[in-house]
Amino acid sequence: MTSIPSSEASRAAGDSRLAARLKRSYSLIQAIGVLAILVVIMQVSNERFLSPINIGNLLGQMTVMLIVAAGMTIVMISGEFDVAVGSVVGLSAAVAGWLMVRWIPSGTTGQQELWIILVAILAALCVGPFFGLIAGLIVTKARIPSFIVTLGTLMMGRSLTLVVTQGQPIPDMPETVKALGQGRWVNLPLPVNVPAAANSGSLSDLIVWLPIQNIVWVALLVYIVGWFVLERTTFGKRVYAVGSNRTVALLSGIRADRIKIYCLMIVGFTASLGGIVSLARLGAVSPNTGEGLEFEVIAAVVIGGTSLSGGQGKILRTIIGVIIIALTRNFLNLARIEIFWQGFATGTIILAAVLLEALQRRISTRG
Amino acid sequence: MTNIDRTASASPEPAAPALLQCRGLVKSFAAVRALRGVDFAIHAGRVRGLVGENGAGKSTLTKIIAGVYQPDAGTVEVEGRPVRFGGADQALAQRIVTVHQDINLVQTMTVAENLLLNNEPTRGFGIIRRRDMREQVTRLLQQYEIDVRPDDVVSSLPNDLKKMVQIIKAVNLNPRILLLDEPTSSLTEAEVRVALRLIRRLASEGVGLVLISHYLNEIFEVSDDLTVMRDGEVVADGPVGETSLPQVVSAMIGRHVETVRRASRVAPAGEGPPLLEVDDLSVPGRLQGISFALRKGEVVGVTGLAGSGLSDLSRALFGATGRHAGGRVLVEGKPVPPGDPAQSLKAGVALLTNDRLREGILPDFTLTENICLPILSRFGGIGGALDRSAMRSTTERNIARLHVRAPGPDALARQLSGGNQQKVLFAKWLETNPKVFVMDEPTIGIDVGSKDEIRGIIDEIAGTGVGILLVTTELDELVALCDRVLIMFRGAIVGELAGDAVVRERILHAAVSGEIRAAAA
Repeated sequence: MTSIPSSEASRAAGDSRLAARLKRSYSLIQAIGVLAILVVIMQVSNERFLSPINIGNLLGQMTVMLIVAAGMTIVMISGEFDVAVGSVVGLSAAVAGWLMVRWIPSGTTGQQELWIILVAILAALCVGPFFGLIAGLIVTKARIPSFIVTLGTLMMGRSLTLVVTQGQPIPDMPETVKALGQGRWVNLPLPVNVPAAANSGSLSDLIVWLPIQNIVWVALLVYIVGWFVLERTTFGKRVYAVGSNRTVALLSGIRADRIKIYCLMIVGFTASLGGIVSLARLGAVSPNTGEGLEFEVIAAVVIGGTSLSGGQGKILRTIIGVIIIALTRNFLNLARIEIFWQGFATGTIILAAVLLEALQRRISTRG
Repeated sequence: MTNIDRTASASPEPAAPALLQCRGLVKSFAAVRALRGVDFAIHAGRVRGLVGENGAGKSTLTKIIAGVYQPDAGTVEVEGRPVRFGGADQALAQRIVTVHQDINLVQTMTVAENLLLNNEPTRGFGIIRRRDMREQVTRLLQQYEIDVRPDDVVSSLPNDLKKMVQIIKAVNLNPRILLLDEPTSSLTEAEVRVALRLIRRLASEGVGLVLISHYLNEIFEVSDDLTVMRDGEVVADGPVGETSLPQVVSAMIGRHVETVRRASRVAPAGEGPPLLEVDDLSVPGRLQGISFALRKGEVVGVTGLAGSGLSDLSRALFGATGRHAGGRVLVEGKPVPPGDPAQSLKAGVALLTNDRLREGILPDFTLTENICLPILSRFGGIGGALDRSAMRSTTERNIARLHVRAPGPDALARQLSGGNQQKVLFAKWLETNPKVFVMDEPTIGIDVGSKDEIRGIIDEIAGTGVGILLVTTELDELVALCDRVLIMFRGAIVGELAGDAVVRERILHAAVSGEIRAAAA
């Protein structure tokens, strides 16, 4: 009997194991490299860039995007999209803000106010999962692409935000909420001030105290939980399996539809959380909160290396994607480039990122 | 060949009641009746071989047992209790496990993740015990002597190792019933030994097994019982010891209808180079060293088992396998640039793929649009406007010539039956004036009447001097149409039958064994 000799093939596979590992971390190395180059360019062109105040502001500004991008990574790994996140951010912020302003009479303090704030936040946190559930049911039962379904929920969410806010900003959030969002209760010591230390010769001058906005810790928590769920739980494995090959997942006894619905609810939850964070940070709700956020978030996730076709991606790399997008915007601001050019720059970066991904895929399949 | 110990199941007849019993199963897909009242039993501790030609209904039967399909009529009983599975997960919950024919692994995940997919050891709340998972996987891989590492990504493995991982994954689910659909077709000889030993061991542990395989020698080696299916019915059933390979082959083929062979119209050799020359065509892991020639007006059949590389060959000839292919393809002595379907088309090669719905017909386009798609440039007029009346008349000519039953050239392709859609595809490729026409399963999934018509069309095309490579697993088709038949086995051409040797028994025997039997047999 003849048979295709496979020993050579498997030996070749053995040789390429190291190469494969390198190739796998290659995109990470590359992303960090791009980030480093960006940082250098920015610092060179504007020495204010690496100042503690600018870094602190920058972290605060990107928090909403960070939180939503975590959920978007999960849903994109499962092979779906959610373009409604921007409007869910807006609607959640509006719901929370409306409840707080309406229920907290001026002058109330203490316990009662805290309870009302808590209820308002919880109510707002249900908005996203509810939108996700509806979209998920339509996507899985009627077999309609999630891009289209969430395009519908996007418009509904935007419109409901206008209904709740009556098209007007809701100002003057309770002081407690503002304190939560705008406070910087923790200063992070960073031993980076080499020139100062060299001048004075005292090691204590080496440290720069970086004030961190409280909301940044929320984002950090989201990523720790998200990483754990994706990498360390059965649910995470199922998400990857469903996104990579739905049939295989089904035949392994995985309820693929349910997983996709959960994923859409998760991204909805992160969008709601993002809305509340945005409200706390700004101390007000604008009727167009979160407008256009969806595409920035998807871009960040893609730049972070998550596959557009599902099944592949790492949630921590999404952080790099978000930073790259946020840095670009910050750079344009600092360089006093007209705001009209910002979309153009972001678009260029997105195209470069997906082209790079396509190029890599072609190289790796050619093997 | 070492024999596998079958003494574990001592009794020749199953004494105990069946572990699983199907009665009167009927299943149709659109107009095709895949199962017409099938009774089937699986017994604990026994291996049941399930054989039959392609389309006999074997896979449909196992998919019903595995809960993937639901029967239109008939019952399935597990240990005497009737069950009705709504999906694969419900059958899995009853520990009915299937190794499907195609490789069912998540390619982007590692071996470890695949082996324990949806079966991971956890601490509750779905938190995975990573060390346990690693240990389990390492133990499994050592136990079954598979040369892969837990962290290898599945897509980086060669096909045979993927298949072994898939089999081990199924075994690790601790099945009560294990259905194996062509488990060995992509394995090397040594791995086949491992797999067959494993099958016997599971049987001795009391698992009820079903083994679907075209490799009859393997069936005879490990099975206790044998079921032969043909055209959606069980035609033979009983202990393996009471039958023989020739008996099984003739049961698979069934009716001894004499197939009328067409008259050969091969152009005489010796006038210049052959129409098509294939020289050492190889695709790593799929095809090795394929060489043959095709002359004007000749119909050469290519056949073999599922997984022997038939579709890989037809695609490689058309340059549709990317740049991986090695070797040369020459048309009328001129080499065809490799890896580019457009160049192949220009050189006069046409390919009819075996997947009409996904790779052939555009269901929402009209017949005219379907047929004229590859030759649109011929109808370009002033300012790029298409000469619509010329397109229509082209279509009308083809409708008449190939007897397409359709309302007219503006009908949508989806309104047509499968057989008539296939004729439209024939028209589409014929309009490109091919010199070499590669057809991959040209009569797959169409009714008997249309099959005969399509075969008539193929004969007619050959009559016009086109060289035809007929890639098919239908024995009747090979016997009726082919001047010669090339036999493929595990990615290589192992032999050729010509002239009077093109008979069903000899083709089937060569395809299942990989050996050409002596002419006297």
